Amino acid sequence: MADTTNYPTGRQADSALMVELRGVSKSFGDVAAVVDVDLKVREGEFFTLLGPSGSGKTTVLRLIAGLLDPDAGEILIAQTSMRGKPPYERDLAVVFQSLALFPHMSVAENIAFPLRMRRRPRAGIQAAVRDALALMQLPDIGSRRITELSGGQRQRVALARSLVYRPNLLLLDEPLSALDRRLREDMQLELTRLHKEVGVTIINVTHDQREALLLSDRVAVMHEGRIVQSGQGRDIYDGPASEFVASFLGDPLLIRGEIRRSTGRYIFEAGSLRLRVGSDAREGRAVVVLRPEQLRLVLPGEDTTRWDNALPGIVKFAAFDGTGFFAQVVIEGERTVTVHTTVRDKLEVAEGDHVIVAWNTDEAAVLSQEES
Amino acid sequence: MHSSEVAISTRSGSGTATSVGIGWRIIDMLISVRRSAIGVRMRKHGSSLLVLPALSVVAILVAGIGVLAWDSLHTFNAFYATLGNLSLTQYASTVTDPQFKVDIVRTLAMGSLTSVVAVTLALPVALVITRSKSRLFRLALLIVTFVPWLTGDITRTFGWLVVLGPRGPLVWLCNQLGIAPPSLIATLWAVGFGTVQVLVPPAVVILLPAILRLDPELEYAANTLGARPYQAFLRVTLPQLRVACFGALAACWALGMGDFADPQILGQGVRDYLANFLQNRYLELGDVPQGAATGVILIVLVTLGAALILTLGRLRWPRRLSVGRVR
Repeated sequence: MADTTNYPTGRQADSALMVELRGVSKSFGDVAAVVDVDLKVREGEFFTLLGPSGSGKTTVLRLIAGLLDPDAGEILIAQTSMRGKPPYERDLAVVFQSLALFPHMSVAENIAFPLRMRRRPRAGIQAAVRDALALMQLPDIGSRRITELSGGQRQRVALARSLVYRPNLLLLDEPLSALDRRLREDMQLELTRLHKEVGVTIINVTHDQREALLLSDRVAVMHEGRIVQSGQGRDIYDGPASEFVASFLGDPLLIRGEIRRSTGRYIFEAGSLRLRVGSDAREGRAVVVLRPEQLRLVLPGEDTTRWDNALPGIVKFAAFDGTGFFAQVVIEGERTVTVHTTVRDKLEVAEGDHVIVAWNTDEAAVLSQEES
Repeated sequence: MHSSEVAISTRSGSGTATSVGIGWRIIDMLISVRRSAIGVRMRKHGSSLLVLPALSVVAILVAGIGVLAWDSLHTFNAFYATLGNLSLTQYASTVTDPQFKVDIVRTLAMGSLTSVVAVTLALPVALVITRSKSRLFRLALLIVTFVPWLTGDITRTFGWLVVLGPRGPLVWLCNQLGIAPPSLIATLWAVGFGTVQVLVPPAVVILLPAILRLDPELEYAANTLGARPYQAFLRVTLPQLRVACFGALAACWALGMGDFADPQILGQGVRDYLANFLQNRYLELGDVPQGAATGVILIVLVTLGAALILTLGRLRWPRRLSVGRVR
């Protein structure tokens, strides 16, 4: 797959390639874990492999790390082939899902480990460990044992250990997945801070679409061992290339139907349902993607002329979730669409209420049949 | 038949039901109280009671050792084969016995050496058993490792005698290779081979659970952090197995120190351990108190040695890296 991504700020667009995968495949017995993956990650980029369990993203990470050998294809790091190169010669760091901190060592010894392996002088090691602890905002815990740390402190120690020897590449294998929501969000912000301060190239693996969109310069969505779409998070969100990508990013309602051109407009038809779609749509079979956060709830009697589409429905379930109202609305008597309003909308609905679900054509992605 | 049933059947059968019923009812009440008491006790201490059979076996052993210790603290009339007054004579005569001095040094040296060798050999075996992806290879390795345990001690040792003996495969192989065959029988080499073979299986058994508990990602992490496989093993894997290794060492030490068959058969009576010295005093010379004193000395040595090894295994090494306070 050619790297046709528009880079977000242009800062990485001209930088050298840090990681390149050319037609990489890997099978475990009869199971194809990674199938013909092409990938380019540039220096200084925060790149995320996003996908559900079993999509092959961790296998790709382990192939890059050298913990697995590819069956086919080639992996290059800093434009050098990694063929036959063991992990300890690749100048990279991995933060594992389990963090893999050495339980028999203190925090300082854990952080010093990669420096000791590189035979750095003792005084230099002490200074580097001190700096790493300071960078991770972990004062006074150098002599503690790993078992004496909280979950968040362990995350920071794992990151400090990975960054202390200033590797070219940092691989993150879902290290935040075991944390509770608040701590995970704190650590996500911490990661972005570190990325900016240290400037290291990061390849992150996650199944959390929010984390992928929040942290990454670019995202590659993986499904059944293949990269099915890559690009900037917003581009993928707004223009999913397939039903899988559309359904994996968020919790949308997918409606399959056909687009016809009628009186100069494009109309999407699915049974009795008729929706207006954007002028960039193509005639033929298509799928409309309705995302909860892009739909609005309007009370009956209110003006709906400013919306391209407005469908009456009945609220099946509604609850306040702390950021707004989460509502499930039955439209056309058969389809249930999820709508998420914000607190700012100041709209409260209850089960059984008659409402109108409204949106504009640019707020619903349309996948033509060939794409999906 | 329960008394309540007796009372009911009697009541329905004759006019003396009341007097019989009262008697039976008292018995019934006593049985109920007894049953409920047992029920409560069983529920409360049920699992603890299950260890009683094993504890009784240990208790018999402790009683035997107690008798041994008591015998060792008396003088002995060899003519009448009777115990005399309380005394430390047996210990004094045992520790000054030239044969005892030779045997205790040999036992300590060989017990320590064979334990270390056995644990060193068992560690890779246990690692391969747990990490091999081939189930067949794993099974084969398990069988090969535990065969010495499955055969009797005497059969196993005589097997070694044949292997190392003048008409054994070792001599044949040396002849085929055109080198002079070593004469191993009645040497410490033969005793050592035999002892190590019997010590490897228990060492593997002790190491296996600890190795199974290891997180394989720790070695991967060490590799990605720049450690070569041997460095990852020495700095990450081995330190985590320290307690298990010392546990295996303590068990091997105890078993090796008490070895009897290998020095007896492969040492041909000229490479005796303390156990052989004890047998000689106890059964061949009939000197029960000196045999008892030797037994007590052996038990004390084994216990102290095992305790020392286990303590060493649990010691925390001093922290080598201090970074002070982070500003």
